[in-house]
Amino acid sequence: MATLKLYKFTVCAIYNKNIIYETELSNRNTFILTGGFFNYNFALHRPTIFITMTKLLEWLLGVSLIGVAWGLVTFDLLDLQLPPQYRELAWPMPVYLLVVFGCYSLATVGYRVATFNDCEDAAKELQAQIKEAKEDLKKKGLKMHMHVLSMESSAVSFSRVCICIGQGMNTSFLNQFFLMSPNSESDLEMNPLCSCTRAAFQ
Amino acid sequence: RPFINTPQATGADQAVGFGLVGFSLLLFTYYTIWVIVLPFVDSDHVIHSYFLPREYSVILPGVAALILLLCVGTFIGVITWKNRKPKKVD
Repeated sequence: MATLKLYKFTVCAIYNKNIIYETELSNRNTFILTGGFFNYNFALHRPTIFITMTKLLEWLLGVSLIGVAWGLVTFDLLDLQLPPQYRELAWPMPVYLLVVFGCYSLATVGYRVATFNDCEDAAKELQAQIKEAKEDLKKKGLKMHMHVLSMESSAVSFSRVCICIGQGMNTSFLNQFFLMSPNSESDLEMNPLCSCTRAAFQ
Repeated sequence: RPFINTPQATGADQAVGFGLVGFSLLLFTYYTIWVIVLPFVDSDHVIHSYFLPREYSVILPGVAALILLLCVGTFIGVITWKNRKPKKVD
């Protein structure tokens, strides 16, 4: 005669490597575990399922909590009898937050574009140098495309230029040099401004 | 056609940049008043005549998002179509 064995096991919830919650369950309960892995905990002497709180789980938890709160208010699932103004305010909330986020992104981009410092003289000088180098290489029989990919100078008066040289897939950085004034600090943690891709050489 | 990001005239850059900032501020103010302030204003106040019915505050951004997605998709499609390589004949 077949019998169904009853298993007891422990579920641990871990946050920042500390066990924040522990509970005993038996295989009679049904539940859904995400981000958990099954192991045998020798200290507890029983199979244990660990739920490690990853950033993803944190975000999902937060978003679902907010979503549940919004659903409760909008569809009045708990019959809270909120004043009608607050219900009118609540139901466009997700769209409103999206629009606000879009506005913030647009404003940030616009502001950065407006405060982008150019260095006209260095640009002209560089274009002249590129022309010179191009003619020189042409004389030696090498056909190449040279493009100034980007230029930037900050308010602390140093500039950085990236030049990509190549044709089609044969791209490489020719030069990435920093021109610094004596009083400014070098900012080597800044990410390079440009990257060569095939689309850049059409 | 070279892909050059040459330094633009600072004037045009500033105009575009601050134009974007101004536009987004305007949009934010109008939309905030529409969604957050209007429910608490009496329904016979004159300010309601400057705003569309409340349903449009969800429908219009939805339509705008759809149009944006359409534009992005079309752009990607056009670029992919332009970059397709002719098949090799063996």
